[in-house]
Amino acid sequence: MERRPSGTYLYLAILFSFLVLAYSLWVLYSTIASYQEGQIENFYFGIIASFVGMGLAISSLAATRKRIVVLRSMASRTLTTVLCEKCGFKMMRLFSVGDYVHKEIGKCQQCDGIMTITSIYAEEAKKKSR
Amino acid sequence: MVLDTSLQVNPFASQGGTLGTIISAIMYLSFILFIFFGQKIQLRMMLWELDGTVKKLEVMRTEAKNLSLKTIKDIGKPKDDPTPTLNSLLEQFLITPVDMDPAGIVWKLDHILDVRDVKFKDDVRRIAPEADEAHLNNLQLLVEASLTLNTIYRVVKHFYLLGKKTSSFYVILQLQMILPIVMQEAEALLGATKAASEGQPIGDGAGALVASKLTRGNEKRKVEKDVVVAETVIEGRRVIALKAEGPGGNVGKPGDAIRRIIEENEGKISMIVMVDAAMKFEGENSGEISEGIGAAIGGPGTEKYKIEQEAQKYKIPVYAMIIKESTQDCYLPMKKEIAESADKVIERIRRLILESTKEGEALIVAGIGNTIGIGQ
Repeated sequence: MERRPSGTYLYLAILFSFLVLAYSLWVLYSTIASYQEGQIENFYFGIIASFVGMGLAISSLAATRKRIVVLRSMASRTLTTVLCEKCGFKMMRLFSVGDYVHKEIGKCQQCDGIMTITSIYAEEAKKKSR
Repeated sequence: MVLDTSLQVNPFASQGGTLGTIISAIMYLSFILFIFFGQKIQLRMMLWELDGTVKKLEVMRTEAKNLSLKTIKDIGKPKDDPTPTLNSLLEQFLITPVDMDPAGIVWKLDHILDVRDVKFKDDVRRIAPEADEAHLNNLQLLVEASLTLNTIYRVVKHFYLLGKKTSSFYVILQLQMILPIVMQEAEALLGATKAASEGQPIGDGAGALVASKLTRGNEKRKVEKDVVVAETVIEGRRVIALKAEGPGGNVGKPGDAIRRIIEENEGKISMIVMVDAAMKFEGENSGEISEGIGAAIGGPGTEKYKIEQEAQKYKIPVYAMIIKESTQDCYLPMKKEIAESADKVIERIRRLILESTKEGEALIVAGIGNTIGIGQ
């Protein structure tokens, strides 16, 4: 699961959505001012335009959020836990092709015991291995 | 009411401005358009969305196919170009037996599945002659995942084009309704192809992981097709644990293996404990454990049938322990919480053994699931 799609497009989409949202809010604010000044035509036009803008911006942000969740799940990495059953020395490293659970991978660095893979699992890339 | 509202939001006409007249005309026009062509517009929008999904599925199946091809070339080192054979494998199908007279259908299906399995493996072996048994099983799993993705793409595309051709709102609607679930499965299958190409354990292997941990260090022997058995003693009880032979991607035939073990022990088995990964409900956590009664095994049902037959014949109680996961978790590389649940399951088995059996008795623990990345 080493596929890491580019996030540039997502950041641009978020930026654009926030710009549209900010502009829509500004239009809404101006519209209220128009109403107070008695410009009813501008008021209705502004209300429609600002709500359409806010709707589009929020919908775009929601879609982007969903996409980010998918990308995060794709960015998981697989870890291999290696254990010496004699001295209990434990080591974690990134999974490499050929690893499998219960595979003996050589001598222990601490004693002359045999290091065995005890677990292989995927976790999200943002979490640090212990 | 609608008329009143339209009048209220239609102040432009009374203002007499050009903009007001234009907006007013647009509103009336759109209202009429939606009355007469509302469903057509909705249909176009749905088709537009489906078109994007079909394209996405096409990209996914191409990605899976390319990965299969690359892995076959890397591991199998074929002399000829494997593409034509792979293309043929990706279109392979299976015709299930006729069910008008259901008597004996399980054995017919079992036979067809055996033939299909042997044929599929032989075909993969032919395009990957240098691959050893474990790699061959992984390649088989990889090609099968690609085949499923290809089938999903073909089916979705078929209904999309059918709906488009007939302009049938209901064909398109049904497709659109199930599409989020289909896409989730397709994403998971794509993840499975990556796991299979690298030989990583997948979520479905949770049961196999339990069986392998239970008998770690004990002598193993092979029984039946691709199933290994090892014995251990827990609290004075003889525990016979079985799982598919790893670390290649394999599920074996646990039904046949259980029958063989029961026959070897002349029916003197005090209980069967089956451990498998099973579907969780939304809102539940992956890796949670549940206990129940019955044969915990998925697939087409033939292995389940055999286990139930034998259990009924010798009056052996069958207990089930499931490790909860989503459909995606099943296909994707094994999550940490699922891997960690294996030890908890072993503790529960220990407790169950103490509660339900006596010292000196023998029992079977069957670790069900795909054993890719899990040795004996």
